[in-house]
Amino acid sequence: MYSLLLKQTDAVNRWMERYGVRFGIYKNGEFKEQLFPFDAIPRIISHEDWKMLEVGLIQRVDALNAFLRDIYTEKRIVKDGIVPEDFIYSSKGYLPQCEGFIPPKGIYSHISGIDLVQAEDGTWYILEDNLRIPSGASYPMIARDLTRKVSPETFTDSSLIDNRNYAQLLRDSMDYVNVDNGLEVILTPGRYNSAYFEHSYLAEKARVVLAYPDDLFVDNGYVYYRGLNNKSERVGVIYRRISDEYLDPMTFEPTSLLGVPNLFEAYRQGNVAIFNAFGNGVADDKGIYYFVPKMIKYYLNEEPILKNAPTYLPIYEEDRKYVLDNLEKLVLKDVSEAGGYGVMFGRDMSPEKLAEMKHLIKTESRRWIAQEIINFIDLDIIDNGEKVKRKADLRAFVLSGETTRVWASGLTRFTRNEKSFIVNSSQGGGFKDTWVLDK
Amino acid sequence: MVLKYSHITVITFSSLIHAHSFSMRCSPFQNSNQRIIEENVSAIPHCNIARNTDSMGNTVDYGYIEDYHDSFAFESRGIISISSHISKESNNPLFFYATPLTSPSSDLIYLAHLLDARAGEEVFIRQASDLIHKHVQYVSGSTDVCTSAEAAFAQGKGVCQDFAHIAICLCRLCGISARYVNGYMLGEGQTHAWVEYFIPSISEWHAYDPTNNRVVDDSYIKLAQGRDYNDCRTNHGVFRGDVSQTMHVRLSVQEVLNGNYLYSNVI
Repeated sequence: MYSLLLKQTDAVNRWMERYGVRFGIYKNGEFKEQLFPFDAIPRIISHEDWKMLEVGLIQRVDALNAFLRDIYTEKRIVKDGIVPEDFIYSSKGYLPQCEGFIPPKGIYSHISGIDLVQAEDGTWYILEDNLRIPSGASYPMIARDLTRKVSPETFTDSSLIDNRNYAQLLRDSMDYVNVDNGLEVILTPGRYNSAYFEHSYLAEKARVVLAYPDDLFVDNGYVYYRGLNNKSERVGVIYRRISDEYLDPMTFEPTSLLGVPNLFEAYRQGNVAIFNAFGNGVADDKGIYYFVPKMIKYYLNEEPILKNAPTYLPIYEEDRKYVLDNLEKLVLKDVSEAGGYGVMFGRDMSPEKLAEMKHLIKTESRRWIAQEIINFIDLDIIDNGEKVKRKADLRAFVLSGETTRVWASGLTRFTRNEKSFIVNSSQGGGFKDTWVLDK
Repeated sequence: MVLKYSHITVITFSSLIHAHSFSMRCSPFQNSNQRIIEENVSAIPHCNIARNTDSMGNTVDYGYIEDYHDSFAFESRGIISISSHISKESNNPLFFYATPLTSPSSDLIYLAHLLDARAGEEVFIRQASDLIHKHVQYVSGSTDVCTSAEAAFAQGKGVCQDFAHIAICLCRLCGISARYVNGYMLGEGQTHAWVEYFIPSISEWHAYDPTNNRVVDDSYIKLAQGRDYNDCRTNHGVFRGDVSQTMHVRLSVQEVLNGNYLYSNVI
């Protein structure tokens, strides 16, 4: 069903180069922009699988939003002994400044990027939740646009769901939380950000303003956009692509030049919606991941539809013992790292390294989680004209507004290195279109 | 005690600056111990001053000055009646976990071993304060706002902020929730810092001034509370301009006797 498209791979990549579809990478302190290579063989998700994924993802994101609201208000889940207190208070992502505040319409995670893999037996597993600034939706968006352009026949023949509604889903969510019908903006740190292409592309597609930090200021408790000829316009919602710590130098990192001074105060007064909310890091911490199935039961009183990868927390004695005995076959993750950093495979460690890590697991047990390695399905890619198998994951995008909706698409990333298991785009790698069949 | 306070902060810049955002925590903390009789904040250059309550319950006055200026003055003044500094309020785990400014060094952990929390929190805080005074000397200007408890303790010198941070660190090491308080003290020419600690048996927060080694009484005005100094910063600003700046603070806190404050209200 995609054979015609394969002949056009180079054409698609050429178009992407012209459009500047790039991904920036910081390596050894240097900023490099590189193309994000597109592989024309799509990942195809069956209709039945998608139906299951859709309800499972909605359930998960609803529970995570309920968790965030609970953590910043009553903390029932801590008082009821489900999540240990120190998992909240010593989490880097927990912001005490958010205590007691509920954002507009009670939504914390407006865009959630949920990473999944499919095991060889067909079971889908959740790898991680990204509730801060999940990036990547623009790549499948433009890829679909371009593949439709270079090979229109492919899409008249295939019975797949049209995914060209992401910008509309985004707009719906932004409209829903907009305070006093103000201006809607995407706030970018600027062109040296790794996802700058995405910021500008989404602003264009969603027909909202692309704002730089200097364009915004806070006066008398409200946020304004500095328009042409000093005409300032009240801002109602900011889809920010700057992380919490840099977003307001008055409340967080004081040396940040990327932020908008006093933005947090205006937000806490309920005068502007921040999309996603401040403080979401407490819910997508790799340690908190372990508790998500429990959250689903606790808040929704439902059985989790999607599974976590089998995970062990060394703070629990039984888990610690298992991890120390089986480290060689597990993957160890540093909970404070993101973007594929701090992920270590036991089987790749030297005996000295194993001993060192075991010591750290004993002395700093809160810092680690360990997981079974899932043998996930390899996907076909074309490498130098040959069809080869590579590891791949799927980032699904879930948008919360009046209702919670899943974009019938996603970002399928694959490793180019045949030995690597890490598919994060911060570490190189390419992507594919994701086809969801409609029957 | 009824106290009349005036707190003026003047910042002078060596040349013109603009796009100046500020945020101040120098209005009295609002709780039932502190009855505000009158209260006002103002800024020069004149601008809108918005008011918010932060997650710690502190009053934040903040604003923005777009135009060029070479000095900034902010005044907080008022008359307040203080009953005590004991508040009936539940514990909050937030005040139990160490922060970068209050995290312990091995010396502080050793010091904590010399203390015994079983004697009760009120005895504990006195003992801790006595112990701090044996090791740390009050030397004004010996530390700055970024100095941690651990660093101040290591150099054996500090100011009220450091005494408070060290006391908080010791409390938390011994299982007592403690928080930092910034405020005014009768007769002092600058803002002062002390601690509040939680007593679970009666579910109350009590206040102690480790710098002066005494219980905080009704001659103190509480402005802000937090996990450490960073949550209570009196004054914070961001502006455009390549300048040097000097700050002057004029603070006066006087007792108002015989209902004289009524007179000032009439004016």
